Amino acid sequence: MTEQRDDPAALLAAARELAEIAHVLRTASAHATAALTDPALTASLRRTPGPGLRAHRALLGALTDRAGLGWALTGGALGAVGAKLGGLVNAGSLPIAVMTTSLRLRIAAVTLRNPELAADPLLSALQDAVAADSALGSARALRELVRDRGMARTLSAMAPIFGEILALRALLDQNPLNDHTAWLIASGMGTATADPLTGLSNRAIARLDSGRGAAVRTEPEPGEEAGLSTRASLLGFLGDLLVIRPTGRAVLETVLGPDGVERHVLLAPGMRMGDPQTDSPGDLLGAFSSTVLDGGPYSRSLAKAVADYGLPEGAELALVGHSAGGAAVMSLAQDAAFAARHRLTHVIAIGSPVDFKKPASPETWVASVTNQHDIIPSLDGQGAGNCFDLHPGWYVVDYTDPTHVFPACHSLEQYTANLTHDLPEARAHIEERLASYAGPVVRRQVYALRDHAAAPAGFPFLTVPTYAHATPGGNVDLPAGTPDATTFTAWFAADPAAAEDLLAAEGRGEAVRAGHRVLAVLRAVDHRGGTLGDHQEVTLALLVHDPWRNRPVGVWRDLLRPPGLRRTGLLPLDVVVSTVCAGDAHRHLWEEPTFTAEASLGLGGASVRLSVEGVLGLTGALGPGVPGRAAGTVLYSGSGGTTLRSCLHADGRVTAHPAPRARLAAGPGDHPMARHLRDLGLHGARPLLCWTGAGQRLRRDAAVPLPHS
Amino acid sequence: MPTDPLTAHAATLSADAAAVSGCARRLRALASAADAAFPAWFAEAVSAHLTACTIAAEDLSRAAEELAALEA
Repeated sequence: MTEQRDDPAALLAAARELAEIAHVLRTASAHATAALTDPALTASLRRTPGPGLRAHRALLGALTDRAGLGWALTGGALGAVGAKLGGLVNAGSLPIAVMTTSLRLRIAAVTLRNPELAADPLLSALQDAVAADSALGSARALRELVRDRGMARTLSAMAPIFGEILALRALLDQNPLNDHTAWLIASGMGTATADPLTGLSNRAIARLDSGRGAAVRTEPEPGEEAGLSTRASLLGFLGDLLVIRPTGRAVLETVLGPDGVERHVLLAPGMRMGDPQTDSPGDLLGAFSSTVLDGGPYSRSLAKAVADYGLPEGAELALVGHSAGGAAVMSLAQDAAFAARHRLTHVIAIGSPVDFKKPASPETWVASVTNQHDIIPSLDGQGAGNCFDLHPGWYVVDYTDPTHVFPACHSLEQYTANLTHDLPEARAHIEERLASYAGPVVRRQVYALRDHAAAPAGFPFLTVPTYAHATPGGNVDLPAGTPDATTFTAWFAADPAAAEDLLAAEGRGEAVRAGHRVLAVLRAVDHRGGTLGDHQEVTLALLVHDPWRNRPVGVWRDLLRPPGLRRTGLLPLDVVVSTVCAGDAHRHLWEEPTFTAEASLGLGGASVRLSVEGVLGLTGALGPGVPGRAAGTVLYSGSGGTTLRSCLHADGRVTAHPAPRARLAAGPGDHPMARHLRDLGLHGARPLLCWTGAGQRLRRDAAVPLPHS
Repeated sequence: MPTDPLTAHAATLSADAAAVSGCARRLRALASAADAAFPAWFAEAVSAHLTACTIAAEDLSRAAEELAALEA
């Protein structure tokens, strides 16, 4: 293994010179095209036809002379059309021919460093086909290479000349959309702006990775704490990155330097494997945007982590990243506002595509460590064959490793092993530059990174003003919210005489009639989290008109109104809840006849299993379902002649089951709910209609006392 | 700096012709400096570029003169 950045320098110097010449030729072609298409020249044909025609001919001749510039129309609308036409007739241009020679020379230079590239007959065949502008030959050679080696070994084999092969292919094919990217790669003028094969804009794809970035404090996973280093060093930082792994997290550490000064280090791991687009900024899309854009959610989430960590004014900060993490920390370093807030002393990028990133502060020392067979650092278009001195002040370690196989050679394990065993001088140099950071780690915080900050639970449905209300068990905030609830509602046809008796006993309300029957509702809710905590709630209620007026015709239309505007409501006969806290709230805040008992609700496979110990059981199939939106409920409750009205708002999807086959069994005991179920004739009854909902959000308002009817 | 567009184009192309002539000189220097480390195809490729550059410089120079004559 050798560090051979300047070898073979003569070929690379010649390649650079050729690229510069090609650029001069292209600029001259663009100027000539601009002159040819200038309306002033067209106007001259009318004013002085003879000289005007000669000037036209001379310009057109210069731009189409096969012995000179070749088919060199470029720039502007005519240039684009001309380039397309030239591509169709396979007309070559001198600037592209010279740039092609530059790229071929770069490949030759890399081949001198890596003789196995020349010894490989399949790779040589691919190079020849590409250089000969044979699309069919290129595709066939690439197919042969993949068939013989597999994709991983093909990528590894091509990695040192990946950028050059892509640029050659793009310059010589007949697709004008990728020419600009090919030129950027070949001339070393910037990062690839489009896919060199298809011309599809890389920036457009990268912009799909949206998000302002967020960082949430988290604890190391079990077993990780013991693996984290206690003393800071280059290998210690890499070791910590190996412990954290590419899991969408980053680490901030404070070290006590040898001079007694606390300094800080941000560690950013590489791309998170799996789904290409997740809520983590370190996913594939994040890696892509970190490479081709100046900043993205990954770097922004790192900035949020640094802000949360709280660095003292003027404190020194070093950034260390692997793969996409290296690109992200370089994006952070080139953010002028971030660099103004913090004293960025070091950026160390391991296996990262960072050639076209530049720290905002000239004081920032940059080290880039890349394996020539690792294809990831060349994703910005510059790899082992780079012939341009893009960043003279950087410490660049571009080495070869006999392992060669991608993705193994891209792994942080491999880079760490190389720096530990095979690159002692490079490691020693970086450690020396990091000397002020050598010392014990005195503070450490792990952050989970996100594309977007998480909205508050239940936002916006549960984000409403709340007020504390006293209960014997303590204050309860109303409206009471539940961010996650499973609900089950069953409608029954009940005995009207029994309902009238029950309502008379309550002293209020008149039941809504459906034919010769009244409607009873059995409603079960499994509350998870929220104001009253985890609990189950089962309510037996009757559908009643408002306290002032019976509207037998308008009642059905009224039921479609939002709860706030609805008159018709449910009058709870009995409420069973599973916790004392919930019982206190129902009893004292909404004045409902409430009992505490164990209850359970199970929904699944279009069936229900509801039970209240010793009170009721409802089991069976629910039949086919129809999707819909949850609707809230109005509840009339109260005691001692006072009627209270409260609204229960619901948000989420429900499924209506119009032909349920489940059957209700009322308990034989003396529990009021069991007795009422029997009195209403519901023992053994099947519901008329059921609806179910999972993942619902519920919000119940405070009760409002109504004037006497 | 000329304000007339055709005069400006003529001046630019004249400068480009000189720059392309300079490219030809640089290519000649490259060809003469190439040693055994360079691939076999290099000399022939550079020679072809050199010839093309020389002709391109003449073409551009001629176009610049015609543009300049147009405004004269």
